[in-house]
Amino acid sequence: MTAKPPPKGPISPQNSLRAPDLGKVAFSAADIASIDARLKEMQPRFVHLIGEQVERLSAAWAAATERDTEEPFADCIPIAHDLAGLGGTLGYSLVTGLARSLCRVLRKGDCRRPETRNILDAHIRALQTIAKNRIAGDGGPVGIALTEALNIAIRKYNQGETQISLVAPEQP
Amino acid sequence: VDLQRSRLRILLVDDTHEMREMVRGVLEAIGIKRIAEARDGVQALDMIPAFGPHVAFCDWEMKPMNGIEFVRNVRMLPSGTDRFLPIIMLTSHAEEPRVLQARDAGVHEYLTKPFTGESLIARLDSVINHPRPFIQTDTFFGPAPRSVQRK
Repeated sequence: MTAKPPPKGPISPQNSLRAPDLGKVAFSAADIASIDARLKEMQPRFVHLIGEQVERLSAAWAAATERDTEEPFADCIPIAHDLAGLGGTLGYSLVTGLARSLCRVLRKGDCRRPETRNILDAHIRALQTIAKNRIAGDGGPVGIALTEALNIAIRKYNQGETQISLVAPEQP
Repeated sequence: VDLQRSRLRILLVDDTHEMREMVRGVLEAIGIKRIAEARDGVQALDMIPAFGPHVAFCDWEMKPMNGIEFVRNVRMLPSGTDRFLPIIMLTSHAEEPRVLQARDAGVHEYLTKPFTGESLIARLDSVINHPRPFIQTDTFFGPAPRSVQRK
């Protein structure tokens, strides 16, 4: 695709919103309420996606750990990324937090190191627990304990400790 | 529902069918009915000339063409209205470098998942009712950053 560049500098917006058939669109607080209500109404229809996405992630993780290269671990990133988005949208904020944390470690860590694998494995197991038990929201006391345990493990990992164990809280 | 709203054409670009369905659902809840869907940037680019969207929502992570590449391609379209298309990046990426990368590609607004009614309406109101001027430099073509507008 080639385009003749317009002259440098500011250009008035020529987008089609400026077309005469469409002027301003008035939005109101009622619109905000309508969207929030619709989101809430739709959530139960999509909750199964959390479980499906965690299954995809688990499968990608299992395939990655069987090989000794970095590439297969990269396959886990887009799945974890989607999971983070879905979790928040569906009211699973604990899933979002864990999935984002998982993305960070996947992007920064050397996945071939055993301690990195331990941390990643802890994330995956935590997500499996949440999906299996459909732990919505922040997960309450169990979710908070789980997040704290992971954060401690990540801190140790970032400080270079190699012996990292995750003490998972009791499941509900 | 006002007439303008019912005329709005919105393009949803996301590789997750359910996410498109969700965004479609909330837009329909506020009376926006003319909605087209594309599963990645390539399909979206193909749809733009015929559908003529007023606004596009686009995800970041998609294959074969991701959201950033899609935005860059829109900004390089032959002159006309399409290259000025208001684009709202709707993504789970919340990190500042990502936001800056999206801005530098020519994105109008950045909306992180999970979104709320308030955050969604704020972005729509911004691109529809307060369109920013575009700027052309040697390395950038897109909506003027707000910091530039204030000067």
